[in-house]
Amino acid sequence: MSTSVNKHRKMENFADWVNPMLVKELRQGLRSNAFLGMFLLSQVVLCFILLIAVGNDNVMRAADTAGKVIFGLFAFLALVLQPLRGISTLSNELKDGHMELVSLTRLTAWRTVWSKWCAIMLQSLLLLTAILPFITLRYFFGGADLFMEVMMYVLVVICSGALTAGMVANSALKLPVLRVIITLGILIVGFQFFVMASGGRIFSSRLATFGITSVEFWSMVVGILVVTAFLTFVFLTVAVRSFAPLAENHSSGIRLVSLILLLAGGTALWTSFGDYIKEELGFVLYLLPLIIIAFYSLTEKSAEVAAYLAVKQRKKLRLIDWVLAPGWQFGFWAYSLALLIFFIGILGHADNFLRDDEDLVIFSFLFAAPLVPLVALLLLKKRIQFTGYAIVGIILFIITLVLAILVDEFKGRNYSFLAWVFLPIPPTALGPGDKLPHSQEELFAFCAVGVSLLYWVGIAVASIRSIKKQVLQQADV
Amino acid sequence: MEEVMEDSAAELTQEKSAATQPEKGYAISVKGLHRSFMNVKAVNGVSFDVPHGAVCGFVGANGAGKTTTMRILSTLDYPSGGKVEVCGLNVVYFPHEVRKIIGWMPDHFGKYQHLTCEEYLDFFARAVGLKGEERKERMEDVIDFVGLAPLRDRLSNKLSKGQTQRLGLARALLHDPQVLIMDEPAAGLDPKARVELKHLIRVLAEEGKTILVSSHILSELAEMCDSLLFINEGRIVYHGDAESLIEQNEASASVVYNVELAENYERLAEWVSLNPGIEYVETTKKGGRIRILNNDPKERVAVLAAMVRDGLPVVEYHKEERKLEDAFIDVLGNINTSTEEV
Repeated sequence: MSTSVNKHRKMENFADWVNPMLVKELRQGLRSNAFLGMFLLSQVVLCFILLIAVGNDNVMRAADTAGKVIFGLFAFLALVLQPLRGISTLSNELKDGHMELVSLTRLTAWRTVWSKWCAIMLQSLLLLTAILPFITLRYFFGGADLFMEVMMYVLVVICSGALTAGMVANSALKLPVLRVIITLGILIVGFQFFVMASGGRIFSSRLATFGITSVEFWSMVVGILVVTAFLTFVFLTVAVRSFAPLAENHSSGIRLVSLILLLAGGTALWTSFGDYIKEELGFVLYLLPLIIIAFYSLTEKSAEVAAYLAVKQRKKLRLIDWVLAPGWQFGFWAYSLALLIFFIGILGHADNFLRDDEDLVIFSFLFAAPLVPLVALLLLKKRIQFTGYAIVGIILFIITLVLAILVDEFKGRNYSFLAWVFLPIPPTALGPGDKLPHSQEELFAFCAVGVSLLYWVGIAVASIRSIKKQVLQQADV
Repeated sequence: MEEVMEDSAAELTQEKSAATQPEKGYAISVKGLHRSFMNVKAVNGVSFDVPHGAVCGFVGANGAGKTTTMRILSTLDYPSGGKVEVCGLNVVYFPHEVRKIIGWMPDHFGKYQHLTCEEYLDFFARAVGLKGEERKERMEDVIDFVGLAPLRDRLSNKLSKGQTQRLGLARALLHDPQVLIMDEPAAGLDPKARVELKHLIRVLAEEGKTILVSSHILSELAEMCDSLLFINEGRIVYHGDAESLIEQNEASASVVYNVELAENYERLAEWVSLNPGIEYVETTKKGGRIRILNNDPKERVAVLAAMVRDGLPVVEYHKEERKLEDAFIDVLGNINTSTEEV
């Protein structure tokens, strides 16, 4: 008797074992009009589709069409509508002051963001569960490749996870204009995925050609998993750092994972030997962590260094701190290391890379582009943070674009260099190889490398000076 | 940020051991607190102590630095300089420990959509670490205490202002904090809700909780607080009890008289303008309020005699009871005068 009572009590208090934020988010999410609307509408549409399929003379063909519609509907819900629900996840809470009240409890910033993401994902899974009877029915019509279809649904859920995380991170941005731009970007990516998924062009056609027993098949599946998991982790960390206390270190983890992936990508590239799946995967794993390190590490707040040193009660720096400690000052060195790894990898993989002037220009562009907004912020004596960095970046991009068009327009004329001089990223105006004599092209290429190195040296000096100042302050304590 | 990190590790250890003996020292201790936003000094060298079990009223105009000080005490903001301790714990170095012993009630907070009052409290109860039966019992206690029982199933975003404040108080009390920090809890409340809130604060004080409460309504604070803190332009200008403040200022300050005339009410303002040493404060229904700058009783008699002599039909002439608001304004006036002299 007492055992059954205990069991009942355990079941009653089951929610005690679950994150409170997740319980709250599910309570709110499942009652929201958006979820109820999606749920009911999908059921009505699917019933209708299935009835049409049953009534059709050519059952096999109708079943095939029904299968595609069911998958398309789920892909649309998971890749477009569900991520959209993350649009105000954090902004509303930050605006209403909820986050402050939550931060006074035992819930950490990471647990809060993680729970919010989990709640949306669980609702996506609930939608999938609701669609499951229709998928099962479609299976009984025949002609279905069960394994591949399951794989497709799993991959859509995984991609939905990354897009939702992106939207959650976006919702933490303070500037509404920036939020709108990024939302549009995520929507376009999500819609692109949906179009490809519903047309069967993503995953299925390529995966099907390999067969499930092949190494290529599993390499691709693992590759997709790694990339989406990495992106999800990055996006959620971006959301966390927007409101987490300064003393919490959310930088080391992201930098460490990025550097490991960079090394993994490099190894994949070096050992690809013409295996194009490995090569493609290697390139993605190579470029993505570099971009992440650049945009995450170069936008960390200056004061994070002081907070880190104080929390660790550290008066001297360890070598590893230069790469993993928080603050843009250390982030710059992490970016430099990542760039070095990238450079070595590319050099080893492509025999002809960096052999001509155009490659030099491309590399110096890659090298300098993320540094330019940081240089501008430092020169303007503005606070380093993601919003400011993104605004300056967008402005510089527009200026670059306009000037590059002007340079292109006046190419070959004597005064074209004037526009070139004012370009924030000089290499973008280059590429006039067919019109310039070789010696002049070479000069331009070396100028591009020179200006890029100048940016690098400038930030390196600023970073060392700032670190030295903060370490000395800590040593005085 | 850099300035607050100037405490040694040894000092931190001492602070932590001090926290294990909460009854010693003060519940709230603020020393030389500074907080700047860009070039604006929101708090400029504030120092005060609040003993355990006391109710302290925090008074000041909008932008005086009340909320900033309270937010720093609640670990929601960082000081630019100075030392802030709650029950012996430094709010910068031990924010998590401080959060366990304080309850923070902001002047305004959003409410969650689609959640009832009970579910709202349930979320925060879980979030502060209460589990199972203990959580349920604690929730019942705070719901009964603030009188939310009839509203427990109502959606939290459908509550009135007074009901919302009660919900906020219930949330702040869930983990049974030793120190309660309330920012303008009475703002926007109707008179009945104000009386109820005042009663709740007194009951909490009797339970031994230390309460720091800010408000614009001085008379209310005077009734429920053991001491008052006046803050102006980021500086503390008075710390003590209400009675002492009124007495302290009464001897030196000017007095306000209420004058009623039988007819020709507008003549009062005209008469005052012709007589030095008297200021016209405002017009009332049958006359006006005047301020006699010299507090000598003989001078008050002389003013009445002069009015009668000049043919004013005076039917009422009585001194107004000095209010806490007047004392506060006088304190501010004294500060401004001394600043100008410097």
